[in-house]
Amino acid sequence: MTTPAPESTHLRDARLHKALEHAPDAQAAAPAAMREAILRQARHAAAPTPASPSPWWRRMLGSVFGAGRPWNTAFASVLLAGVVVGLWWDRDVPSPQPEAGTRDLPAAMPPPVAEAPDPSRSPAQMPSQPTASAPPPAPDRTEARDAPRPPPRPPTPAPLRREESKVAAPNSMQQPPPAATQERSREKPSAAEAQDSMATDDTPAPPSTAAAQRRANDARQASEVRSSRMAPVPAAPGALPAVAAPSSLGTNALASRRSATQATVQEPAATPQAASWNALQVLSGAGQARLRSALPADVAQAIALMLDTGPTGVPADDPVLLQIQLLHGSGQALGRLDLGSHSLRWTPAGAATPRAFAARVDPALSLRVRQGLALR
Amino acid sequence: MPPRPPDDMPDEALMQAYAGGDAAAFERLYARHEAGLLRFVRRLLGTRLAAQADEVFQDTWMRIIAARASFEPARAAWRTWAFTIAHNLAMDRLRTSGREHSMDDMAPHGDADTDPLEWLQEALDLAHPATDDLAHWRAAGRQLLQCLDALPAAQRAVFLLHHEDGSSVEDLAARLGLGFETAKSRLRYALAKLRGCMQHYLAPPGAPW
Repeated sequence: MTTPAPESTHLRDARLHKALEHAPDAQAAAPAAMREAILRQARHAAAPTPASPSPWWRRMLGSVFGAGRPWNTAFASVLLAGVVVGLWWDRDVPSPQPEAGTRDLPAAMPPPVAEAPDPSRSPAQMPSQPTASAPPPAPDRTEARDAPRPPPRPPTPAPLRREESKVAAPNSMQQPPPAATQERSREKPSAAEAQDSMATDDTPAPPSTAAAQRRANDARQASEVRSSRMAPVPAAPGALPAVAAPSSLGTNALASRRSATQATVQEPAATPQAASWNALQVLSGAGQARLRSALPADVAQAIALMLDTGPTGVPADDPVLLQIQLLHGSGQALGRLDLGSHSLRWTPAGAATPRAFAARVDPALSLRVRQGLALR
Repeated sequence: MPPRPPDDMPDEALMQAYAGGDAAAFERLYARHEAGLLRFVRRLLGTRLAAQADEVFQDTWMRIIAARASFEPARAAWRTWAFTIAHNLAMDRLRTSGREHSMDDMAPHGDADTDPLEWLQEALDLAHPATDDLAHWRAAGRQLLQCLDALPAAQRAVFLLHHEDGSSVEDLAARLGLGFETAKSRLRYALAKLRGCMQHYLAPPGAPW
């Protein structure tokens, strides 16, 4: 087959083109075998491939890894999960609880207003004390107005609250037994009047020594019974400031107090304990030693509570307003209690327990003690 | 069996029919261009690699078969496409055989139009043209093949594509990936050498030698 002669230009020579057409290879043809091979290959490529049944292993692979089955995604997810597990291995799983820094706030935080004693409230209006299972009472609006609102605190785990009540119960004497309540009811016309007298800083009439001793013993017994039963106890009108104090110390104070109590328990029996004081002497004045039984019950309870307070953060600029020396037995000094408006410092004498500590104290409780001892 | 495609069917339509599964279209296409492609491959490879011409020719058709689905008539004519495939395969074979030389090495010094390429005439055993016209052109054809064999492969390729395939200079430049001036220069060099080599056959009859 010859191609038509292209148009002659200065770059296309017709004579050379004619010579090419007459070259010996002009009529060359491919070998027949090669032609057949090419045509056979062309037919084979053009022929539709019949749908041959694929082997079983190919069908199985197709069914497992076929389209629409995101195995790659699944494998990647498993791989990612493995990486995450490896990263979080041996670490705490984050929980909805607040951060540790917030949970371990220093005990210098102001006590919750909701739990602070309110002298203006009558005993009938006072809610029952929080128990192990009951949530803390809602803050009173009047109290919220008067006192700065404390920052929200994380919920304390239930076991800690149970332990708290267990530890605080023996020395707190939060509520007198019913007998003491009845006796106090006889002494006072009504609980409301007593509360009013407390609100106006009118200390109730000093009870007799026998009656005070009986009340203290009854209260001590009642506290022991409560601590053993772990049961909620109704509020007592006469011990309001002292009752509110433990709960106003905060979780850390309770924990510290718990540790202090445990340390007290571990002390040998020969070590004098400050909780066993039976007399006190006001050092800042020229007062004489006073028997514990001669003190008002709430004052004695408040001092016992103060001694039971563990070390907490204290304000640096709180001056000492009252110095009390606790005595034991035949005038043996157990230690000195420096009381400020917001803080207290306990300095034991010798090996007496608890050890020296400083702690924040409820202003109302401090005021109550100072006033109760100043009137004497 | 599908109907046989008509004889006047264009190459591009035949190739598309074959891509659609019509094997008869390929047979017609093959019959139409078998000689031209084989001739082009043989001349491009030269006498030294003539034994490999059939293999390159077969590879060319295998490439055409394999690339049937990618052929696009809008981009190039089938003949241009097929000859470009053959050219690339032949040049690869020449490159691997060491026969390809750079243009700088083979380019004559000075003006190509004024250089009669005496070195080519001396290298070849030129035969005098026959007095008979057909015999003359046959002898010229034989001489031209020898002259082509003495050309560099790049110049030989552009000459064959330009004279046998009918490609323009622009088409040559596009197919070979060259600049227009480069393609034109190669073609001019090839023509000058061939004219010098074919001087005795290209002179008009009766002209003095």
